[in-house]
Amino acid sequence: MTAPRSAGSARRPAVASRRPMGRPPIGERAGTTLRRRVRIIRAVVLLGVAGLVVQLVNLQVLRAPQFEKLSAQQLLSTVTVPALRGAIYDRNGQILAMSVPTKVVVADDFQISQPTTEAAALSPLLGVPTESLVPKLEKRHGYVVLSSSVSVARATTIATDAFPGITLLDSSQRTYPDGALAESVLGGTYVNGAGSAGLEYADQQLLAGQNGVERVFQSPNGVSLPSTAPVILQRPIPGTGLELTLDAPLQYVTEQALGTELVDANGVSGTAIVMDTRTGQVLAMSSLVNTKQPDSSLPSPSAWPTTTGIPGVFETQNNLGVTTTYEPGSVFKIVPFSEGLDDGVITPTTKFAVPDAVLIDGHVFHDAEQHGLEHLSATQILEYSSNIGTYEISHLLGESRLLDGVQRLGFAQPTGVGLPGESADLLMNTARFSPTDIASLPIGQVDAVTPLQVLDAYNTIANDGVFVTPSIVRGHIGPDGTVAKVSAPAARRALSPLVAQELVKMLVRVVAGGTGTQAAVSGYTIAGKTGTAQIPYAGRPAYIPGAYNATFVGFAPAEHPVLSMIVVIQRPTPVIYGGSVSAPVFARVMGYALHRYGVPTSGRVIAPTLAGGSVSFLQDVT
Amino acid sequence: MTARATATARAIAPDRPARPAPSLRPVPSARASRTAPGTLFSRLRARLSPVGIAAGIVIACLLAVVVGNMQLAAGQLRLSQLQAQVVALQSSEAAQQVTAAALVSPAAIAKDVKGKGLVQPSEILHIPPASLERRLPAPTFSYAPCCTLTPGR
Repeated sequence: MTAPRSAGSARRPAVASRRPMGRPPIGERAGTTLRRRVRIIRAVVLLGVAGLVVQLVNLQVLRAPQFEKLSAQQLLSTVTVPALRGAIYDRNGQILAMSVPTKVVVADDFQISQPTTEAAALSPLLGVPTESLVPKLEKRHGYVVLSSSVSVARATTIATDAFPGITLLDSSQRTYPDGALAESVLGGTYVNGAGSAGLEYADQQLLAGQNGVERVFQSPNGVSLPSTAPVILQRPIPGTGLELTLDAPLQYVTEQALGTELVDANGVSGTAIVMDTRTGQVLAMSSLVNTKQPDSSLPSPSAWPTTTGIPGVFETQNNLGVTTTYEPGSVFKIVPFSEGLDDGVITPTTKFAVPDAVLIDGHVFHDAEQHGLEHLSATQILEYSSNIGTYEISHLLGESRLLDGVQRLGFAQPTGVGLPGESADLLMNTARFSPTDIASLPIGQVDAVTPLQVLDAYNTIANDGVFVTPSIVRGHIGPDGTVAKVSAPAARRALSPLVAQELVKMLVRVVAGGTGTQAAVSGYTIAGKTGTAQIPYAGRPAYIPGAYNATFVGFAPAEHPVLSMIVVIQRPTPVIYGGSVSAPVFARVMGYALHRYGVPTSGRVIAPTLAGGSVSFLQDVT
Repeated sequence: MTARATATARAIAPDRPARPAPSLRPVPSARASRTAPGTLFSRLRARLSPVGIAAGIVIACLLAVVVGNMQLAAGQLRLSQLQAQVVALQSSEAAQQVTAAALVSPAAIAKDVKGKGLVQPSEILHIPPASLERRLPAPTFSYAPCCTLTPGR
């Protein structure tokens, strides 16, 4: 209700006249109070807002990094992105081992509300039956691996479909397209991708590369949160590939020939190595086991992963050519002969009166076959592999020179081929030398060496007396595809060229008419040596009855050797001789290799000697 | 100012000279006269206080940041999609390489050869090289028995 303006005007002065001087009227006081209150409220609100602003600045600016860090700790996870493992190629670029990028499919089953439906949808993509997926998705575990190696193409489909609770992790699968080919050299990998044997193990650092680092938003269970892109902190660097010296076709032929002979000879295991004479590059290297032969040291056949194609024969990851030492037998006779020729103690024509047995320090040493007293030249002693004749040459040399010869041909030290688990040989030394060792050592009985060491020694003779370190890796292939050649292995002169040439001639006789005639290859002159050595008991100074290692080692063509090779078959039965069991493998593989590499023929055909037959040596047919 | 306040003021200061009567002719407002010829922007500027302008700028900046973030996220998403495509192609290439390697592996070739009925030769006969300096002996000819001529032809 509004009062008339005149009345109000009349009343107000009266009121004003009643109030004491200096005191504001009631209305003014109320207005002042109101204004004061408003000011107070405004100040409070302003203070509140200011506080909020200060707190906002504090949270968003001053303490932002700290809170960002706390948040990141809760949600952000730094995950390792595995680098793609380097591939392994043979000398012609044939892939021997390669890693294919794959994905690991992981489910956070807490995020999955309809396990049956999701399992049915995932089943065709994962290649896993729905029945086995459903229990996994109902585990309530938080982290369930549904498949460890899904192709990236399928994984992309899974990612596109955006299945709830499903995340994909980078992975890779190691593949060996050639199956078991060269498995003893290549080795294998563990589930986590690290090398477990062979070159995969030896060159793990190179092959593995450098893992990358990514930052992703994850649930506490390690499953990526939806709609978040990973932040790449460090890109993975792919591993360095290896270009091997191996030749895949030759490797295959070597494995097949060795495996076939292993079955035919009822051997337990066998190894064969082919080497480029000049460079020391290993062209083929095979280690096979025959699971049909009883050997308690071998695992059951079901444990062997892939077959060689020959029933019961498997390539073993234990590279017998470098890991196993064995008493080499007569192939070790090259030591006294090379030392004797080098020291001028003997010539190829030096004659010796050779009985079939001698008594040394109460022990009887004898030849493989009984015979009367024969007058044999040094060449004939080697040709017929006479133990007694070899002892007589060693006796002339004496202990120290014999041991010098052992060292000179590369025994008593690892070959340096770069394969893991290479055995240091077990050789006689001057401190342990007994009177009978002068007869045992040169016939390969008291020392244990690896097949590769034996091959190295013969390769030295083939290489004009120059010892070359064997090698298996020829180059490193960078992630960009560039190939860095590995530096040439060390070489040293071990024998004079003259001695080497004389030894070659003597070894040619072994194949032409001695114990190694079955190693002959039509059209080529072959040089080599057989060895048949008893196998000792482990830890007992006695030999296992009926257990032998059959060896043949040689090279071709004898006039200008380009390839050398060794074949060792363990425990063949009933035929035990290196010349009968191992030499045919040599002939088969060497015949193929010489043909493959286009090595010119010798211009002659060496007809193999039949048992008890005559020898047609270097019969020119042109 | 309210009517009461005006009355009070009049009561306190009654001897104030009266205001001249307002003219009937409408006097254009000074503010209106300033803005009349101006643009929309100047009218807005005139109406908005500096605080309002500042707030507007802040909001605009915030919106710009949001839009920028969206663009960045979209770019990152596209980048990650492209990266996934690259990885998929690399993987496919590696798988194809492995498949090709398996097809040309010695074991596969040997199996194929066996399947076609070819057999490995028992022995490879290497033909000895012949000197180019040496003349080959003249070949000997003999007439091979030939078909009998059909009578009448």
